[in-house]
Amino acid sequence: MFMVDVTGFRFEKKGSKTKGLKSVLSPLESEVLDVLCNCHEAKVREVHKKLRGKCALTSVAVILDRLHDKKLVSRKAHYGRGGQHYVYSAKASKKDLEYSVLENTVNKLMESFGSTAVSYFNERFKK
Amino acid sequence: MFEELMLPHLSNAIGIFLSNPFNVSISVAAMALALLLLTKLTDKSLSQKTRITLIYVHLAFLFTPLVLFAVSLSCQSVSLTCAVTLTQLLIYSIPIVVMAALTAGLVLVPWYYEKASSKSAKSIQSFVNNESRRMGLAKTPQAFSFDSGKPFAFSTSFFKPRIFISVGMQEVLTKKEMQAVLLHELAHVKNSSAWFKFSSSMLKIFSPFAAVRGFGFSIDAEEQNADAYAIMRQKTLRHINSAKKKVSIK
Repeated sequence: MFMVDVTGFRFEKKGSKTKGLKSVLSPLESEVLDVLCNCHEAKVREVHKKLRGKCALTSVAVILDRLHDKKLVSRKAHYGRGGQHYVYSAKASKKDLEYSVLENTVNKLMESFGSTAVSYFNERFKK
Repeated sequence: MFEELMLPHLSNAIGIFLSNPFNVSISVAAMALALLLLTKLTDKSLSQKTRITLIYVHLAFLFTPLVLFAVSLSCQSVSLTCAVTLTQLLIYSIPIVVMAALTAGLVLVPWYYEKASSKSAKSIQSFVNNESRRMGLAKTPQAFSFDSGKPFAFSTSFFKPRIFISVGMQEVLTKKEMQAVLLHELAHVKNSSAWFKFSSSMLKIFSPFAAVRGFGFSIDAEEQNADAYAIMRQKTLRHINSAKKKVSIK
């Protein structure tokens, strides 16, 4: 299964209404990832077009680069008429990404807290 | 232990150094020349290469008294050998650091960027070739496509002129905006701006006099000149302005 490195992720503060991947990504990152999950692969301009002018083209390029750094999307460079461009694609479906974030987070907790984490999870899920 | 050994030895060594009229006259002359060269740097009519040379000659004169002092140090007793070596090492380390920074800034950084880049598209390289011929550049810069989604561009001019444009930059700019950016970078190559900017920062770090005088204006002027060239060639400031709004170009 696809694994996401969660070390760079920060969960939203307590009380925030965001759910799923939106709680570990910025709103724009989440929207850009949504677009990429819905279409197989896309260029920066195509993602920008699908966002219907919610943000500047430069912001989309920077966000996609950030998602690539977080290893959530992959990209391939292609030569076009005006120069090079990337074609981005999501590394996994949104559901798989959510599972991966959860699994990675639980693994991290188990590594850090060992038996304390196990007994906590036992008590928590008994209820 | 170190201070007990070092401080009396150092003050003694400085006393011996200053008691020699040859050392004093050479040091004073070197400092005076360093200051004179620094004041010459503000002359805007000088060519870029002359100003770069002046910066390094200024630094060389600035370090002359230090190196002379290090050379004049001698062991006055066997127990002080360690302190003498350490003092000399500390003093020699300043020019060594300057040399290391020069190597890193002028050779290693461009080399690293070149390794992380691929050749740019033919349309970009042919535009660069045509424009450099028109500008009369001795060496045609090679355009590279840097592997990054963030939009940015810069050029290096030391030894082998190169223009780096990130893939993110090529994605967000229109053809005319890209040409404006390339013209801006070519103007930097012609004026050896990258070398001058790097040398100015070296001057700010290593020369205490430069901090008093301030040389920030030169770097701003470099950017304005590069923009002016792009505007002059395209006969409009529309493209360079819209490119600058979208991205950062250096």
